[in-house]
Amino acid sequence: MHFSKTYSQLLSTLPPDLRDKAIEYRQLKKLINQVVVELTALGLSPETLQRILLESHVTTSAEYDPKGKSRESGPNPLSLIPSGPSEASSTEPPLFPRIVYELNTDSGEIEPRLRLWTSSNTQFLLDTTSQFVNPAHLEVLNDKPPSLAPCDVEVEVDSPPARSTLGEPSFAESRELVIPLPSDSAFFHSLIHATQTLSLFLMAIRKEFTQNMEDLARNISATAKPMSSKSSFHTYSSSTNPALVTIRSPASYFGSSKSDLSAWREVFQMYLESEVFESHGEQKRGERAVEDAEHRLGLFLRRLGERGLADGSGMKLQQSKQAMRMFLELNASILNLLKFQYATNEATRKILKKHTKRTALPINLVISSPFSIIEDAHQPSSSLIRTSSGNTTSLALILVQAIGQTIIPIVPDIDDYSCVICSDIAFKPIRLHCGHLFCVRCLVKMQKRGQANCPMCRAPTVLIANRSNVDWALLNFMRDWFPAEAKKKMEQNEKEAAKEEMEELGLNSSGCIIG
Amino acid sequence: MALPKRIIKETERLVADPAPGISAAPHEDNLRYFDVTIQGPDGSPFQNGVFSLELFLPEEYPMAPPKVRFLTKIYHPNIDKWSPALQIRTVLLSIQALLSAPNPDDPLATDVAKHYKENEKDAQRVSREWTERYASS
Ligand SMILES: [Zn+2]
Ligand SMILES: [Zn+2]
Repeated sequence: MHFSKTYSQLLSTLPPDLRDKAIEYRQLKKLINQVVVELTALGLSPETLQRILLESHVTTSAEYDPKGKSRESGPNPLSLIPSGPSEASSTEPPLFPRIVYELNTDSGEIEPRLRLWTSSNTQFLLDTTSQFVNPAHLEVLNDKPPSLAPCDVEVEVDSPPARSTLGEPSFAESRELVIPLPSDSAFFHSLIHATQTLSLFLMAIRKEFTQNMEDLARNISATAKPMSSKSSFHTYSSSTNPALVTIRSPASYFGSSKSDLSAWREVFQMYLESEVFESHGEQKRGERAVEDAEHRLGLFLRRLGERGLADGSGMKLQQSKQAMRMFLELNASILNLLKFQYATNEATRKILKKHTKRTALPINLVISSPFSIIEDAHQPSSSLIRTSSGNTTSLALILVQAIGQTIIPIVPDIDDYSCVICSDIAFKPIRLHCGHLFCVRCLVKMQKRGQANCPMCRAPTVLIANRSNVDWALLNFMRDWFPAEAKKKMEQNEKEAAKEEMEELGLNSSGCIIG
Repeated sequence: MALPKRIIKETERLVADPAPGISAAPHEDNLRYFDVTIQGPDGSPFQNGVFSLELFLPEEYPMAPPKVRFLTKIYHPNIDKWSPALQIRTVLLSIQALLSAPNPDDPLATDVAKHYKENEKDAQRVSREWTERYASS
């Protein structure tokens, strides 16, 4: 299937506000056709260009600065020269005619042009089947900045002295001409403009998303209150600072303050298990990543539905239902963004490839995706064009991470408070002197077996542990946020201890049968 | 008797997210008993071999280590010190790692360890031979 069809199909699944900002692939394709027409009129059909450019490679120097002025600090944002063997000796006499495709950025826009060197004593017949290069389209280079009006004509001169220092041919007979390419300018203008508009639009989207997410965080915090609704949440409670200890008041739980804590916990657990936007195997990219995310989001919704949570009917509070709706909306918007990102990046890549293939003009230019966000920088880079992609993250990924950092931790995850030995909640929590945490039951078992070393770090901290190793702050935190789990574990511990005691008695008094 | 949460969780993960080159499946009638296969690591004398093991989780697991037995004959000097923080997965991974780097200083099979210490090349040759003879499908 042609890409333009795939592209419009992809876009048709997106909401109109995104679709309106899409790169116009068909229009760009038309512009490429116009470029070909224009070049052919100049006697530079793609075949001719190809041939001349190939020959030009011999003398193309990698040191050549397309801007014709000294380089500014930092890497040159554009690589415009057809990349030939850089070690080619620039002292060899150049072959004529010689041509270089440049993307001039002096005016702040990309203005593509051809720079042409010809021998003055030979007529530069560029295309045997066509006319001479039409002088009306030529502009002869001078030191002053080139004007790009297509019909400007100036009289030829020798290569200006400034050029000869750059290792360019300085043959008395050579003539240097600049041919502006208006349709090609229109092509780049359209592409860059679309990319820039999109970039601004995405910044607005990001801002809106962040705002909605903060509202959502407040809503969820209000509806997923712990046992003692006075408790403030500490992700880390290894401290035994009594100031952090919240005193439990069971009355408040059964009182007026209803909570959807357990419902939210279930939602987030399913969300994490569904791994909607991150597959934990190898990194998937492009189309695969989009399909994968769509599939996983669907599975997550189905699971929610089965538990009566998708529409919030399984939740007690009206505010929870509203928050649930928003949570799902935020996820749907990330999926759309992911699709849009894929469509745009593909369209950009394909259109540039098509440009090269159709016109034979060698573009060596990377247009950075407007979806790529440079980390540690809150503003997008001033230049949309970079030669290297740098350290970038996609916008969709940033939003996924924001949900993971802002929304999910509102409800503490029991897995973060589990004992590595029994895999259950580490209740009552014992903090060994080495800092490692276990449930009291597993500690007792280790002590009974005479196992002196911490299972995590092998420090000899097990046998010396006693009541003073109970982490009271964490204990209260667990009772507050995992009341049911903590209670169940306590009962289990007691049952197990009683059974063990019986067994020990049975072993000691041989003959006693243990049931 | 009900299976402890720890064993349930470990089994779920072993099945859902197996370590590369390792498979472990519990018996239907005894969930503490696992059939295990480990692929010989590339570049080791055990390359291209598939080793069958049985793994059993005793009542005291994880306070006590799992019991592992090679069912495929293998010429290897050692099979570590247990900690309840270790898991079935870590045990199997360390067995797999041992296959790439036999450690004759901490031996289980003393004759083989002696052989590895005295003439490593020859011991590797025998390991390769055994892999071909017993562990190739
Ligand atoms: Zn425990
Ligand atoms: Zn420790």
